[in-house]
Order: sequence, then structure tokens, then C-alpha cells
Amino acid sequence: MDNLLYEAKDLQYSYSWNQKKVPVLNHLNFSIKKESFCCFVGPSGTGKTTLLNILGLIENPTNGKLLFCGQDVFQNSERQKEKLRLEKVGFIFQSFYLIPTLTVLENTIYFLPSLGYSNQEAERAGKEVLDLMGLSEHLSKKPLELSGGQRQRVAIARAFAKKPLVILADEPTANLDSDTSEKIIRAFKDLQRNEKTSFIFSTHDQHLMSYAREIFHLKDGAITKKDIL
Amino acid sequence: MNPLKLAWRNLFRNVRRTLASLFTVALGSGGLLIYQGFNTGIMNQYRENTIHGYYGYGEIYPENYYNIVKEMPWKFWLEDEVRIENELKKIPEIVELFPRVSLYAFLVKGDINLGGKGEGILAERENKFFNQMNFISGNEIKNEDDIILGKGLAESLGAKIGDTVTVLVQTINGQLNGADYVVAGIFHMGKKIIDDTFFRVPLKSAQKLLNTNRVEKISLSTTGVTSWPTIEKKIRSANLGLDPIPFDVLDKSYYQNSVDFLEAQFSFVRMIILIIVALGIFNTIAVSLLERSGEIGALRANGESRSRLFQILFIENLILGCIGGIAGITLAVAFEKTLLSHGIPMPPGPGITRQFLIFLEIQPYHYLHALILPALTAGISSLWPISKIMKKSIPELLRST
Repeated sequence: MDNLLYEAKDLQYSYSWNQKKVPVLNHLNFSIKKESFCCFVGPSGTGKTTLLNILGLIENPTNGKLLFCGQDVFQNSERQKEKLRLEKVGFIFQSFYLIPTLTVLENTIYFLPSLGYSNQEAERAGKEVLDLMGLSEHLSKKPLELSGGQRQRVAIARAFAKKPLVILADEPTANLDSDTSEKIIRAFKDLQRNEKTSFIFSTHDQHLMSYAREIFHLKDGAITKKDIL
Repeated sequence: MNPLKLAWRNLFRNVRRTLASLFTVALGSGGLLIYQGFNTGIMNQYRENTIHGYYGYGEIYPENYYNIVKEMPWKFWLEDEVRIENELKKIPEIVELFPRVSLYAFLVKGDINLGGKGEGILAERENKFFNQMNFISGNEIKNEDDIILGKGLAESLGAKIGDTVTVLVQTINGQLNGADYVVAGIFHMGKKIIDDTFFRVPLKSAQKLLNTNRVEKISLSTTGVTSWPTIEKKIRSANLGLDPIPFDVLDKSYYQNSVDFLEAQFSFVRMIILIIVALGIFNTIAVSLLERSGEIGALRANGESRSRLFQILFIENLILGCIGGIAGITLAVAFEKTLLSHGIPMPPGPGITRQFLIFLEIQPYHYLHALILPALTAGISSLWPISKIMKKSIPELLRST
């Protein structure tokens, strides 16, 4: 049990539309171990983003339970969840969402002062992560001066610099060409192998799926299959 | 990175939009400064008219005399004028004393016979200080038989410089008395009610006409408007049986009411300017926040707190307001030194018959108002869009990009 990162028990999510309940996730039961490299796949509208949001503690399930490191975190207050997200979760999105007025290094170390790093410590940690991402030559550049792939690597560096337990990535390569996508996934893979961080991502891309060790197939809000590679 | 630094950097995210907001705030701030300076200019012009036209900085009356109707007012007039003057001269803030008596009279010239209100004055003292009489012809009183007339009164009498006018009064004993005067000057104080009825003769001859050696009141020239409270305090503590009345009380209906009116008008216009500033930048702030909602969502998903984001966005708008305020002040000062340096010609105000020229009189606290008010307005008008975006859930923020 101690090595479980997530444990979903009868997890459900629905929303109301015109006074009708629209189910998005139906009775999901699954578990994900720490240091995993797994993905959720499935066609659009099948609930991948919602599931990642729930795993990232930014959306509450309507019913059921989700244990994060053995804790039922949805009983926590918003402040406590904010703290958990800061310390244990890194989020990456397909649109990068970097701050355009900050440099690559400043974007990377954005969260570190809130985690108690001094300026020098933060700068050192940021440079290390950017070095791992192959971006050490671009420290003082602004995001708009970088290519899409480089920007996504900065977003990964920002999420990773916090040394979270898990990095969640919602279609991280959707806006990138196949070569860049592969580089990004390799970067994920290296970090996971070297730093023991779990990576969970969603994708449609068959090629990217091949890198995952576990693949959860989602259809109409339910897990239809789980592949272990 | 500290919120102040982040907020500052955020201003350069969309330079054109930031400039548009700065321009709006600067216009508001500059407008406020120019309007406040203009208003002060008008008020000071009114004040100068009031002080140097008639009242001085204030007048000294016998105790319980001012504004109280008396059957025989001369009984209360100041008897020992020389002693009182000597006492008053001990107060260093008093520069000059102008003893006066009032007289109601008939003025006769040929077949024309008109009522008027006159004053006996010490011309040799008054001529220097009361420089707002605006003589349209002739000059001040120089001889014992000189009379100066308000423009309207002179016109009604058909009197010109050098003409003789007979002044008929009732002495304090109830007898009729009269004297001939030569018209030395015709003045135009700008207030119709004064110009139509007022005349001045030398103090000694007025006292002779009234058959008294008392004076009704003493106008004062002082070291300035601000010294009046000290003078008042000193006169009262000297127990001379005198009532010192400042010019703004003496001329309440003209000066003080005008000042109150202008201040009320300014408050209203200031509110309108600030509302325009608020509305002008509200939309820009709302659009800018909407564009950044994905970024805000991503930061919050990674653990950034609502309160810190709120702080950053609020400071950003406060900085914008401050810079806009400084830009507005700079613009306003540039205007003051160039286009407005020759004054603004104004038509006659209510109850006034002459045009005047207004110069902006920007006071140090005006700069503070012009900086703080628009900056606060920018900050406050950002509160609603910021709170609105902060209330959104993270998935909503991520979806709304």
C-alpha cells in the first residue's frame, strides 16, 4: 500500500447541463504506483482531462474516493490542497502557459521561493533542471524567443524544479511536431528514471503511448482496458 | 520572485495596452490637476478682489456690533481711535490700519438726486493696499473735497471727472448736513451692487458730515491670510472690546459662497473624472485578465495561492495608476508652463460685471491628489475583475483561454 501513489475507488464525475446530469467518469477503480510512467488514452471527450484534473487535486470527484499517497485528500480544505499541489504535484499543459515577461530561468524557479528556497538555492536548482532539459544556453531568454518544443521543456522544468511526487501532463505534445514530441517524452522518461518522479499523461498519439509502462484506455468515462508494457 | 517585481514585469506583457491604460489614467490625473489649479486660481482671484477691493484681510468692529441691527449705531462706534490703533500696532502680524465710517446719503448733481452708500476713508493709507478698485477714469482721493464714485452711480448721476456732486446726510444728531465734492475718480470693482451705489470720501470730511469723531470700524492689512487666526487670538486676549471679523465672513455672500460653490462643483467634476478613469481602465483590465486566465489557471494548478496572485494583479494596477498619475502631472505642468502660461480669460461670474484672467495656481497638495486619487481608482477598479477571475475554478480558468 505504501508504494501506491493513487488509488481510485468507484470514482465518478458528472456535471449538470439543462438540469440534467451528464456523466463524465463512471465508477473508475484503478491504482497507480509511485515512480510510474503511465498514460490515459482515448478519443476526445472521454474524460481524460477531467481525470487528470482530479488526480492533480484541482477538481473534486462527484462520488467515490481517490486516495493520494493513502490520504483521502478531497476532505482537505482548499488551502491544504493548494499546499499539496505546490509540494507534491507538477502540472504541464499543451499550451505551456509560461509567463511571457519572465526569463526561462525565472519561469523555472517561479514556485521555489514559496517552497522555502533562498534566491541562490532556487537559481542553482533551476539551472540544474534546465541543464537536464538541454536548455542551459537559453536561461535569460524570454519564452517567446523559444520554439514550441523548448517552451514545453521549460514548462516541464518549471513543474519538475519543485521536485514533486508526480507530474501530470495533459496532452503535452498536442501542439508539437513528432520529432519534438519524441524529445519531450524522452525528457519525461529520463527524469522519471533518474529522479524517481511519477509521470502521468494523457494523449491520443499512438507513438507516445509506446513509451508508457502502463496504459489506461478510457471510453465514455470508463476504463475499458489496462496495458502493462 | 516578489510580487512587486512580478507586477512590474507584467506591465510589459502588452505594451500597447499598458500605454492605453496609462494614457487614460494620465488624462484623468492631468485633468484633475489642471481643474484643481484652475479652481484655486479662481478662488484666489476672488479672494484678492475681496481683500484688495474692499475688506482688507478683516475688519475690527466694536464688540457686539457686527451684524446686529442698532437703532443708533454711531453710539457704539469706536471712540478712542488713536489708543486702539496704538494697541493694534503692537501686534506684529498687522501691517496697516484703515479706519472707516459708513454713511447713507443722497447724492445730488443738477436735477438728479440718488441714494447711495458711502464710506469715509484715510486715502493716504488705503490707496496703496486697495488696488482692485479699477479706476476707469480719474484717480484715487487726494484732496479733502475729493469723492470717488462707483461706475453705475456715476453713470446714473451723469457725473464725470471734475464735476461737483453734493452729498447730503443726516448727522448723528438727526440734522441734515451736506457738502460739495469734486469727482476725482470713477471705479469699477466688478460687483454690480457696489458699482451702482457706492462712493468714498475722505474720513475727516465724512466725520464732519456726520458730526462725530468716532470711527465705525478698522480694516486691516496683515502679513497674509494665514496670520488672521493669530491676530484674532491676540485682539481677543487684549480685552480691547473689539470684534475681529475675517474677510471671508464679511463677504460671505460673494467670496465664501463662491468658494463653497466652486468646491462643490469641483467635487462633482472630480467624481466624474474618476468614474471615467475607472470605466476606461476597467475594460482593459478585464480583457487583459481574461487573456491570462489560462496562465493563472496553470499557476494555481501548480500550487500558486489565490491570495498571492490577487496581490500581484492588484499591485500591477496600482503601479499602472501611479505611473499614469505621474505622467498626467507631467502633462499638466507642461500645459501650465506653455499653453496656459498667459492665463485663461474668463467671462464675468455671477454678480460680477468685469472679465478676468485666471492663472492655474497648483498647490503642493494638488499634486498629491492628482497622484493618489487616479492610482487608487485604478487599483479599486481592478478589484472586481481580479476577484471575478480569482473565484473561477482552475479547470474553468484553463478552459477559458
